Amino acid sequence: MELIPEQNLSRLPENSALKQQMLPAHKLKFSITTVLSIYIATGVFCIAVGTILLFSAKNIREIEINYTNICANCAEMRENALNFDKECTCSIPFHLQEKMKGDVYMYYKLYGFYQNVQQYSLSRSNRQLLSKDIWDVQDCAPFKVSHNDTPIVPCGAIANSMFNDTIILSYILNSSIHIRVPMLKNGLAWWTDKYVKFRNPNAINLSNEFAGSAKPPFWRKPVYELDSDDPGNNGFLNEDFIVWMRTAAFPTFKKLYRRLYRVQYFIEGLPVGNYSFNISYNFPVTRFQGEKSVVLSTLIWSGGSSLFLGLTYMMTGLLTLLASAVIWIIYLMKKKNTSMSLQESMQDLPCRKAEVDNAVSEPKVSAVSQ
Amino acid sequence: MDCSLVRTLVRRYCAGEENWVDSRTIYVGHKEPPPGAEAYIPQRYPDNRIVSSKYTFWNFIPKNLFEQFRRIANFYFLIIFLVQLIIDTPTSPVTSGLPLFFVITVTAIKQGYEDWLRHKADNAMNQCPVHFIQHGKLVRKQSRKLRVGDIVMVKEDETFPCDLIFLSSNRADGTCHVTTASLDGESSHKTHYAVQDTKGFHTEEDVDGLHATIECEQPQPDLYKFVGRINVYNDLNDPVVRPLGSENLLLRGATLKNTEKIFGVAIYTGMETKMALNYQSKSQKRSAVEKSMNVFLVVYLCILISKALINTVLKYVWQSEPFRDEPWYNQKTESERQRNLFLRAFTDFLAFMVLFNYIIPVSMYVTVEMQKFLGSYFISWDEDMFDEETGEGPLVNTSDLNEELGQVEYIFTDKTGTLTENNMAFKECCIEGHVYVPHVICNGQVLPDSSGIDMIDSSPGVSGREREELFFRAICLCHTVQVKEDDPEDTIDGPRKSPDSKSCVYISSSPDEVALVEGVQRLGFTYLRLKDNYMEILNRENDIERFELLEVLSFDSVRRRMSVIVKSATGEIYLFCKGADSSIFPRVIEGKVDQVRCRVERNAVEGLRTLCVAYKRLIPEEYEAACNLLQAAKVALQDREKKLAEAYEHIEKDLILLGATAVEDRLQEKAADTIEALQKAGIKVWVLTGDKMETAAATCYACKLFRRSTQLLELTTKKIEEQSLHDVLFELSKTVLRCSGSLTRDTFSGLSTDMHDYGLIIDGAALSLIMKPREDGSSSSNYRELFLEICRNCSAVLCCRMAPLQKAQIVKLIKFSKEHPITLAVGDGANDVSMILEAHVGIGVIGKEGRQAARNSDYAIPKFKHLKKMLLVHGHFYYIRISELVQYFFYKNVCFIFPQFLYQFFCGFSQQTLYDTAYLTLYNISFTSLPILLYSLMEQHVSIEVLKRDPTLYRDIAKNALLRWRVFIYWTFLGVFDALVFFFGAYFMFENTTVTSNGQIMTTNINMMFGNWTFGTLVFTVMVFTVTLKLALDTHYWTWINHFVIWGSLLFYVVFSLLWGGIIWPFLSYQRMYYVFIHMLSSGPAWLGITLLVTVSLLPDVLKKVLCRQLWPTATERTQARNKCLSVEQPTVFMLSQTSSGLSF
Repeated sequence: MELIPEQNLSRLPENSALKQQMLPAHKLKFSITTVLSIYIATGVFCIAVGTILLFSAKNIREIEINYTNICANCAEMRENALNFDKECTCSIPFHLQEKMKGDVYMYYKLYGFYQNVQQYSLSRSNRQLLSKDIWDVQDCAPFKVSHNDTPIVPCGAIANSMFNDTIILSYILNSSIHIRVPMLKNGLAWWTDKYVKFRNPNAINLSNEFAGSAKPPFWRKPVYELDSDDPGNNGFLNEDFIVWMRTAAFPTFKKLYRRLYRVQYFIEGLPVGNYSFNISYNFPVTRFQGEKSVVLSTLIWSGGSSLFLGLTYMMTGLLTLLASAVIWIIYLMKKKNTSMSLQESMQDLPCRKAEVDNAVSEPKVSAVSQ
Repeated sequence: MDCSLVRTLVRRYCAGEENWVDSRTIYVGHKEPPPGAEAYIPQRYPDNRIVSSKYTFWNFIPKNLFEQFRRIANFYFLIIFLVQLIIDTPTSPVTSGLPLFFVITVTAIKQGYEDWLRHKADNAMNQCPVHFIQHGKLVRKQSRKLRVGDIVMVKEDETFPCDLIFLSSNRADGTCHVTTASLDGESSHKTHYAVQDTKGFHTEEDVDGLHATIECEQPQPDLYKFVGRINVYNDLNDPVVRPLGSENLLLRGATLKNTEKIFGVAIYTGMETKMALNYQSKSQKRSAVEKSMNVFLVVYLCILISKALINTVLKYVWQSEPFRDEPWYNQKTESERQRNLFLRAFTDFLAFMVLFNYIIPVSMYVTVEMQKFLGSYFISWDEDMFDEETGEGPLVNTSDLNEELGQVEYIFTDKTGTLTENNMAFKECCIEGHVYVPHVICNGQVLPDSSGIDMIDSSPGVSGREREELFFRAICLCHTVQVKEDDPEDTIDGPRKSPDSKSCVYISSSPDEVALVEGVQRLGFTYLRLKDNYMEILNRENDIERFELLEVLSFDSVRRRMSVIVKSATGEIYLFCKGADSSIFPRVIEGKVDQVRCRVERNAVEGLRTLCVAYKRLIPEEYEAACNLLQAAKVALQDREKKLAEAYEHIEKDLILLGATAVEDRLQEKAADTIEALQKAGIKVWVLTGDKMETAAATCYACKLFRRSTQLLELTTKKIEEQSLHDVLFELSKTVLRCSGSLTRDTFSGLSTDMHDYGLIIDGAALSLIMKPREDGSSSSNYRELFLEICRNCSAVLCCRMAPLQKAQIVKLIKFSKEHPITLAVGDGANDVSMILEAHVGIGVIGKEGRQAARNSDYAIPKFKHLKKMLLVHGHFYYIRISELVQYFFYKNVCFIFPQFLYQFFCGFSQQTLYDTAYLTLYNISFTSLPILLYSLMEQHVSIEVLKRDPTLYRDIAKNALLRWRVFIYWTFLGVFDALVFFFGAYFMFENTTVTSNGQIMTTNINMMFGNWTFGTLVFTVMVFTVTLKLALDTHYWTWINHFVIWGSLLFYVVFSLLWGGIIWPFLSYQRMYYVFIHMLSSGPAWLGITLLVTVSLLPDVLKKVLCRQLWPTATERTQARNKCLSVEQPTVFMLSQTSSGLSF
């Protein structure tokens, strides 16, 4: 018996705030003022951001020219896979009505090309692209090896289907003088892609390194001739190639092709005038009922030409403000009711208390003996 | 040890079916009976090994895996994992294998550890040494080698190694004391008796010379029943046959006390001992939340399957155009082309299943289990529920039912020991109409001058005085109280000392008896001890009177009385009988019945427990006859109970009434307050008691179950005798239903049921009439329905005169009535166990009548008042927490998987994953797991104080309010909406905007094209933020832990993503995430987009919440608002409205 008090002490739960669920806590208070102010603040913020976005988007110029049908003859030719090494060029003149200020970027845009199909997006060899083992074509089905069993470099469906149109933009100063707009083909890909994820074999002569390999079946020239002029842009390091290898999220996508080299006439961007795209049409799109176009666009801090972000911000802001107005009105209506019922309940309280008191002192016997 | 002992018995040994006969015959000491005895069928018995472990070293892995994968959820995940392994799926098997492996391993380790403990306990049990008698010598052997028929010697404080028939002890009277604390929790010493003919065998040699056989029934689990017979063979005579009853049986698990050593013969061994048989594995109770969770799971499974089906079908529709099926840029391999279309479709279906399987996350099970397990500690830690007096805190025996505590609709409570203290105080006695009140009634404490008594009536005459003394002697003698002798020397001097020197402590399994004996001690008669079958009492003149105890007709709950037959020093034989008034009065032929009855009824109304005392003088012939009758009944092997009952019936008649006693059983502290609070909380409280109606009704009034305004409806035997059951029921239902229209409207608004407040009183007999299936079949269910209908409309129901099984019956009746309400049973005694096991939640009050109830309960509390905090605070919290946990888990996985589903429409249904493998795996494991776990442990939507103060808040969560279909669908749609926002928000950003990165971070002014992984990462980032912030908005109780965990997990996500994308991980075959996150963050529009999308997905939910709070606030929300009113004192408080409450989400 005497032992029990000692046990008591040990069994008594520890009185810590955590164990008693009494940790000091901050309680979220949703008073009308806080809620409304949060709502209004959000609304105002959204509208402000939206306005800024919309205004800045106004300065963006973008031109998209869909050349699938303009170059119908080429498209038709490309329908037949056998004609794949036949040249086909087409020229698309257009007029630039407002000048494009600042950096101008040229994109190609494909419609209906599923770069995100799973089998497709897996069909590449990272070891090969890193030049760790350029003969590693294991994951590249169905473009692992060519007909005579030589491994394809670069292997895989992604590399095989690389966009291979050549697009040249010319500025038509007058009917006789066509100036080729200077374009940069570097600085298109992610820095990390170019310097970490893609590596050429450490050799001066790439063609020797790649000897014994086959080019992808749909390519016109082997990988080591992608850009013979610039060794830093050749082989796996070719930026067009790298850009292509980053698979797009949707079947309609835009990829950066060139950026304007701002010299001479083009120091401020593209001036107003007549231009033409000279396209060597190699990439068949009609075979998968797709389309392709070329896009010229300027950029600002907030992205491209789309109004989407701006509009959505505006919409959200407006809806938030509307909602806060509704809350405010409901609150006012309630307030009228409550001020009345509050008085009632105030009167109510003492009576209730009295009732409770009565109940406490209730006698025991009376009602049972029936 | 105690606990592990029980755990050792987890598994019931399945004895072989062979040799299944009704009784078994045991040769004591393996000695063949002399020829001529009946031929016995030899039987095989198991050895004394106890096997409670589930696994052996060898079969652990296969068996444990098998057990684990029998659970549907685990099996589902296994299937998904296997599918991922076998077919070429988009997601790596690691994503589902890793969590599954984790869960399985943790469970296996836990179960393995538990089994290892069981093995250890088993070994300790099986190897502990036991003393045998072999050829007249004492031999030590391991316990497991013990066989049926062995003669065993047990010393003091040892536990019995198996079930033994008590042959002899070192005490001359052949008794021994035993505690069964580890068996049924009763710590009092019980006396067992050796077989009469063998009690003289004190040495090993003597015992070895014993030649006897024992016939007894086959083992059965009832601890208190045993029927057997011993045949002792002497050299010449016919064998002596003696009956064996449970008083001769020493059970395994019990401990020998106060006796130096005993000899016994093993009759049940190993897994056949009563203890082993008695370990009943409690049936698993499942909470309502778990059930809803399973329903939701099925819904999600259907969603999952339909998603996979839709995608598969669409895939083939989409591919029906050849330019899509196999465009030039994505040709198929030869093997792919040649595969069977249906096989391909099936594989695709499986692949889609795998892709979307995260919608039912493994981690939900883990989190729910953890929440339950960890959360249950809050109950046992709770200081408010700790009882200083007894040093007991609440016990949690299961953590599966925490949230069920917040859903209780019916409480079935025992009266004695639960509502009342079960701390009896002798209040008064009435002898032939004269009332005696001891001066001091102080919880059994005796004050020095307590020998005086108050006589309320005039002093009785001489004959009255005789009667009075006879009455006191009767109380002194008619009981089964034991005296615990603290100090042997003290007791020798005892008689010389004043009676109130506390030399003795009375111990009994029934507190009433102790109170009576103590009470009568204060009135001058002290019971000293039972010695050599002589009961010694100290009378008023300080003389010792000795009575020889001839027979004890022990108490049972059917007879509701007990008797002793004693022989006084003068040679007169008395029968003293003590029992409930209803069982005594019909057997009385003499005495002032009317006065006593009047007094008894008055006392009963005041809530006192009354007992009547009667006596009868037996002439020796009568005694002989009675003795023979008893002996005959006791020897009977079959129907012994019945025969005994008949014998008792025969002996206990023609009594002379002496008087009545009244013992007060005080209400437990704050019992009334608790009941009131529970009723306000919308819980119906039923009192189920074995007590008589008046006493029980008085208690009900005292604890405010019935109010003054309550109109009592009686459905008792008395009433049924007058009218037929049919009429009574219909009449009652008419009364009740007349006002039910107004009543049902009132039920929501709490207290205002004063007008038509009905209380029903029903007794056991009436109940069994209602429950009894009728011959004509059809009407029986009608009665039941009618009865339920009446009960539903009564605010309180009192069921008195209930047998334990009837209690369970009532619980069952309500449990399976058409609303399927959640029931809770609370009780403290062994008689409440059945109802505790039956109810959805069983709560044991750690009381005085042993710990059986506490052990069989799901939760045990020290006092009834703790029920209030248990339900109103803990239950409420647990329910809020777990329902949010469940809903949130489904919500966040809808958010997670629905974009994945949408993405299939944009990637040609090619099972392309939207998120990287690491994100797929870690989303549920680490990015979003801790905040919800902590929320589900810490959340307090209103403070503890408020919940205690305002019990009506409990109604807000009644009927599983937070897991109804409406709420579930709301959450699911919220998830779908958010998913749509994430996906299409990001889609339009990608589609129309050149998502660029400004050149400040990069060296040159580059703008980049973002691929599919960036898209996925963008969606994922928005999602992680939205989902976490959604929880943040739902959190009302922000402790530093919440802050830490919520902001911490967001930070963790960012840091992880930076690391995951910032390093070339050598173990990965692909580097598709390399710098993706960093590039995304370096782009301005991405930031703008993330902010916008998070805002857009959160706003509607906030708006809905605000509007609902304003327009249809629940009571809880109003309280939240009111608290602010008190604390902030701003008139512009939200939602201080008095509109009638509507139920909203």
